[in-house]
Amino acid sequence: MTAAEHLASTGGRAATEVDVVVLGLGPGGRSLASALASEGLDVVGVEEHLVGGECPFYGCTPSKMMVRAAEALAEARRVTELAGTATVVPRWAQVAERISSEATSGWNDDDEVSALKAAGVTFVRGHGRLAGPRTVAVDGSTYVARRGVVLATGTAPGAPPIDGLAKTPYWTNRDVVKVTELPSSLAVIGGGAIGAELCQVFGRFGVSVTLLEAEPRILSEAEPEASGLVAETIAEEGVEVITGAAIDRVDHDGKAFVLAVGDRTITSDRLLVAAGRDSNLSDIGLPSVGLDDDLSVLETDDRMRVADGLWALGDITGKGAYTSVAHYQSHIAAAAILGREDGPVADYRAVPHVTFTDPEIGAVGLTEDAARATGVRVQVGFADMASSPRGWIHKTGNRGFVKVVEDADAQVLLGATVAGPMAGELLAHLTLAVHARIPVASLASMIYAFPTFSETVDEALKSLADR
Amino acid sequence: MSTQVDVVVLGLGPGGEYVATELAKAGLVVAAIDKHLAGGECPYYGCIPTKMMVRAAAVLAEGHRIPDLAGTSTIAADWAPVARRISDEATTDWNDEAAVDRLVDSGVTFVRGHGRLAGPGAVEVAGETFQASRAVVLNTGTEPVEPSIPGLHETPYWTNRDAVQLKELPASLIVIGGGAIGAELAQAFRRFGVSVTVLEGGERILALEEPEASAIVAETFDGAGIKVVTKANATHVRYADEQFTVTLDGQSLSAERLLVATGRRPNLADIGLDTVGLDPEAKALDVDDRLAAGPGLWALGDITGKGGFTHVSMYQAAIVVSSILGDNAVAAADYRAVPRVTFTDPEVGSVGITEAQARERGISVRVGSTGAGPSTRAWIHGAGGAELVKLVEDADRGVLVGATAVGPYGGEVLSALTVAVHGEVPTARLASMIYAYPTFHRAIEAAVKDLAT
Repeated sequence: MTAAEHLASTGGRAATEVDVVVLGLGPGGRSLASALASEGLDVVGVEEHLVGGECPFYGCTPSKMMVRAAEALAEARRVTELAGTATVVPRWAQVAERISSEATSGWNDDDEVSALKAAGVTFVRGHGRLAGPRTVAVDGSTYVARRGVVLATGTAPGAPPIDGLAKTPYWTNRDVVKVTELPSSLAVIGGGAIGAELCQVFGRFGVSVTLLEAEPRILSEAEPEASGLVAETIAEEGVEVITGAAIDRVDHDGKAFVLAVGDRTITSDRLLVAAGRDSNLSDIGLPSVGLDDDLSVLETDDRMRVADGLWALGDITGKGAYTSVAHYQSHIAAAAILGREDGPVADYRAVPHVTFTDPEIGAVGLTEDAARATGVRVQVGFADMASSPRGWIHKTGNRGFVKVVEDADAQVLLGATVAGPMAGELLAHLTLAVHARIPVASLASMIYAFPTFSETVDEALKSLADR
Repeated sequence: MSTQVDVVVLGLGPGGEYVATELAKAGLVVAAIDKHLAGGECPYYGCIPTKMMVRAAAVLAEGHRIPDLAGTSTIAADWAPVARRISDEATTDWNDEAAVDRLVDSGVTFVRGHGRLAGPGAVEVAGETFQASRAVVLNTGTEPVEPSIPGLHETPYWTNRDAVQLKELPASLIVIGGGAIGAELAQAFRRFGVSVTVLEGGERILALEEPEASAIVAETFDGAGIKVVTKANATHVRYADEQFTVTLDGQSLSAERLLVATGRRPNLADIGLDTVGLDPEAKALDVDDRLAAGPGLWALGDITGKGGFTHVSMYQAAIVVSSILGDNAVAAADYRAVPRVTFTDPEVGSVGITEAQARERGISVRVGSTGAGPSTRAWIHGAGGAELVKLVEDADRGVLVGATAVGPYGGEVLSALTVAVHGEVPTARLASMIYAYPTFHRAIEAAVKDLAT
C-alpha cells in the first residue's frame, strides 16, 4: 500500500509532507530529532507523554537522586567506625522535593519541548501510529516522511501475570519516583537493577523492605558473584530477600497489600512492581508496514534500519534498554538518515551498564556463561576488592571484586564485571578494553595508580595469567 | 670482614622490599639493608596512613552533605579512631617486625643500619661489608626537604612523618606547601575541625597539575574555609608560647602547629656513590630502560626521578628483578603513562603530560575538556560533585599523551585514561565507545567530542 492509498483510507485529509517523523521522544528519539533538524531537515517529533522520556522523569535521574541521598546516609553512618559520631535523621521530603523541583519540574516537559522547537523540530503531542510506509498518523493528522520514519517508542513497566495483582493499586517506577511520604513497609516484586536499587534506597531511609525475586538469584542477568554480593549487602542492611519466590496471589484490603508466597503471607503498606518492561510495539501501527504487532523487539541492521524508510532505536531494538545505547544508536541513525555512507555502524560488543546499588555493579560485554555459550575458549580472572590496599584503607563499605572474561585465543577481554564503592567509574577502563580490543598483555603492562580501586583490575588480569 | 652474597638491596621501601623478596625466592643469596623501617615511607608515613585520614575525613564530609540531600545530621568528629587505626591497623605502632619476618622467611638476610657503597659490588653497613657477585640495588628513597626559611630549623615543625603520628589535633595549623601531600592533609585536618592555612610559594596549589584542576581544588578549599595564600614568600618562622608565627611579605600568620610539605629530596648524598664513580650531589640517578645505573648496579624508586610514587617503584622493581635474573621477561621501562592521584575531594587523577608540557615539547596539541557545565551525574550527585576531564592529544598521531580527571572518583576515572595513553588508543576509538549512563566518566566522552571542535 502506498502512502497515498493510506491517506485515502484515513479519510483523505491532506497529509503534511516532511523529511522525517520521529515517533517517541525519549533520550534517543529526542537527540535524533534535534540532530536531523540542525542539519536542515524538516522533522516532526511525536510524543504522547513527556519529551525526554522515561530516563529524566521516571528512570535514571530521579532514581539516582534517591541513590545519592541514600549513599550520603550510609556514609554518614560509617562515621562511627571511622571518624567520630554521627546522628542522622533521614527525611524523604528533601529527596521528593529535589526530584520534583530540580529534576522534573513537577513532571513538566516545557523546557524539553522548547529545546526541541529551538532546534527546529515540529513537535506534536499525541499517540502516533504508522499508517503505511513513511506515514504516521497522530490524532487525525497525517505526516508523510520523504526520508522515513524513526520508531523510538520505548517501553512501559510490565506486570507479571499474578492472580489479583492487576486489581491492586501497586506502584511501578513511575509512581515510586513521585512518592512524597515513605510507607512504613514496602514489598518489591522483581530483583533486577531497578528493584535492587530502590530496595536499598528505601531500606536506608528506614522502610521495612521485602524483595521478591522469581529467579534463583537477584540481578539474574549479572555475574552470579555480583548477585551474591548485592543480596548479601542489602540483607545485612535489613532488606528481606526472597529468591525463587512463587507469588500465588496479591490482594489489597483497602489498607495494605497481602502477598501469598508459597506458605508465607507477606503484608506491606505498599507494593512496587519492577518485574521487567514491555516494548511499546503493540499499538503503533506496525501491521501497516507489514510487521507483526506482537513483536517484543524490532530487528534492525547495523545502521538502525528496519525496512526501507523505517528506522528504530532505543529499548525497542532489544540491544540493551539503557539511555547510553539509545544515544549511541541515535548518532548512527542520524548518519544513516542523512545518507552518510561512511557513517558509524552499530557494534554492541561493549555495551556497559551500571546497577547503582552500593556496592555499584558495573558490567560490560559478555558474562562468563554467555562467553562460554559462544564456544570461544574462555579464561576467567577474578580479584577481591576489599582486601586490596585501597579496599582495606576504605574499610567499611569496601566490598567488591573485578571479574574479567577473556577470549583465551585472541587474548582480549570479552566482558568484565566490577563491583565496589565506585565500580561504575572503573567500568570505563574495562569498557575501553572490550571496545578497543586492547590486548590483555597491554593492560597488564600498564602502571596502575596506588592506592586506587583500579588496582584490583590489575590483580584480576594477573589472575588470568596464573590459570 | 666481608660476606659474599649474590645481591645487596639498599633501602627497603616498597620496590626494594619486592626486589629482595623475589630474588631470594628465585634462589639468590640476598642481603637487604634499611636504616629505618622495612616497607619504607608508604606504609608508615605516606600513602597508607594519609589515605586512612582521607577516608575518615570523607565520611565526615558526606555526613555534612546530608542537609543538602537527605535529612539532618549531627556530626562530632573525633580524631582518636583515626589515630588508633593508623597506629594499630596500618603501622603496628611504627614497628616493622612483620615486614622483617616476611623478608627473612623469604630467605633474605636483613641488616638494620645505614649502608654505603664501598666500591663496585660492595656495600658497608654496621662495620660489615657485603660483596655482591651479581648486583647492588639502590632504593634509598627520599626524605622531606626543609625549605631555607630563616628561623624554621629552630622550630618544632612537623613533616608528614609527624602528622601521621598525631594523637590529638591542634586547633590551628599552617601548611607550607600546596602540593599533593600538603593539599590532602590540609583538607583532612580541616574536615576534623582544624583551622587550616595553606601557604604555597607558586602561583597555584597542585602546581604540577593542569591549572583547571588546581582551580577546582582551590575553590573547594575556599568553600570549606581553608585559607590558601599563593605566591606566599615566607621570610621568617618563629615558635614561641606554643604558637608558630610565619612572617610573609606584609603579614604574619600564627597557628598552633606548622606542617612543612614543600617537597622531598633523594637520599643520595651519603650512600657512597663516589666510590662507584657517580655524583653524590645528583638530584636523581641516571638509569637505563632496565634500571641499570652502572655495571652491576641498579636503582629504582624515587631516586630515579621517574615519579615519586609507590606504583612507579613497584613497576620498576618488576623490571629490576627480571633484569637481574636475566630473563628479561618483563618489558623495558616506559614512563609515557605514569598515573598519579591526589586524594583530595574531589580527587585529581592525571596521567602522562599536561597541556603545557606537550606544547613545550613541540607536539601538535589539541585539547578537549568538559568545560564549565556539570555532567548529568555530577548534577545528580549535588554536594561534592565538582568534576572535570581534560585531554591532551597529539593531533598528528590522533592519540592522547596526557589526561586529567577531577571528581569524587577522579582517581578511578583515571584508569580508563591511563589505558588510552598507555595503549595509544586512537581518539577516534574513544569517540565510538558507549559510555554508561549516568556515570561521572561520561565526562571523557564530552571531552573527546570537544577535541574535535
